Amino acid sequence: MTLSWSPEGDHTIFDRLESLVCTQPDGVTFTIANSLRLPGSLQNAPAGIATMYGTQFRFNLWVLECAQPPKLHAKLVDGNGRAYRVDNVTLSVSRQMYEVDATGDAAESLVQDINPMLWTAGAENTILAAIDPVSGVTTTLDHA
Amino acid sequence: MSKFWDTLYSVKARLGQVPGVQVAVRKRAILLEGDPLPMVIVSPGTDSVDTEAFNRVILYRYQVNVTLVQAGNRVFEQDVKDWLQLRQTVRDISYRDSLPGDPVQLCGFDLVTNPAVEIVSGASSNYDVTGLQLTYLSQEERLA
Repeated sequence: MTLSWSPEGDHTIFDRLESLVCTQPDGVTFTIANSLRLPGSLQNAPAGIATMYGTQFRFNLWVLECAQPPKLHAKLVDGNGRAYRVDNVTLSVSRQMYEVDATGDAAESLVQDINPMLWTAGAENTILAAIDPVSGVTTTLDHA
Repeated sequence: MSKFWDTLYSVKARLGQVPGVQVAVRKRAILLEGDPLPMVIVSPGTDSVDTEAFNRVILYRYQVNVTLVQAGNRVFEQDVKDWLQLRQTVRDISYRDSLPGDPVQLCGFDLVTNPAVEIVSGASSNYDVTGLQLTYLSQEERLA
């Protein structure tokens, strides 16, 4: 059976697939094509004796697009130069996909992560449409 | 002003001598979105009665929490040296038996340190954190 991506119905943002550059803790670097970024969140979390904030995203990666499985703490860099560190990796969907939870680098906010790629026409992650979370109305953006 | 506030503010003034570090007084050790890094957060701990004496003399202990935060980003080897140097600078500047402006009538001082590095990986955190607890002993007079 062949699986295919369909981001439709995925929360409020439909985005296209993107390329990530993965750098493993041992320095091995490779590019991962056709990854899907799922909705992210900005939240507080305990960090030692204090409370810090950070962004979390989930990326779905094809196993066949990865030279090797991303390791814990590996660095993922998107097309806008935003870096994420791998929190956990789940092998799922008939062992054809890695579901990777990753945290944005320190002091990077959700706005910094999202806005450049949403509003740059021609970028890989150009947004196609947005759904108003209250009314449910779908708006197709001009540059989609 | 309360003795506690004066103490916190004096600690902040002193830590302002640490080069390249932003200092803020907050109710608790929390990093806000957009804060620059590295950063020192000065926050109140407990105030407690240490000793009572005749003529309504009270010795209060004011605990001040100093939290040092930097962008860790799962880099576990390269920046150990610099981090420990920064931590020592903060500690050395803090470990003094007087405060600028003498906000409280100091008659004692104590310093307790947290682990040199606390790292919480995953769950939105990419920070290195450490802390000091400064306790100032102040002689005051209670109400009759």
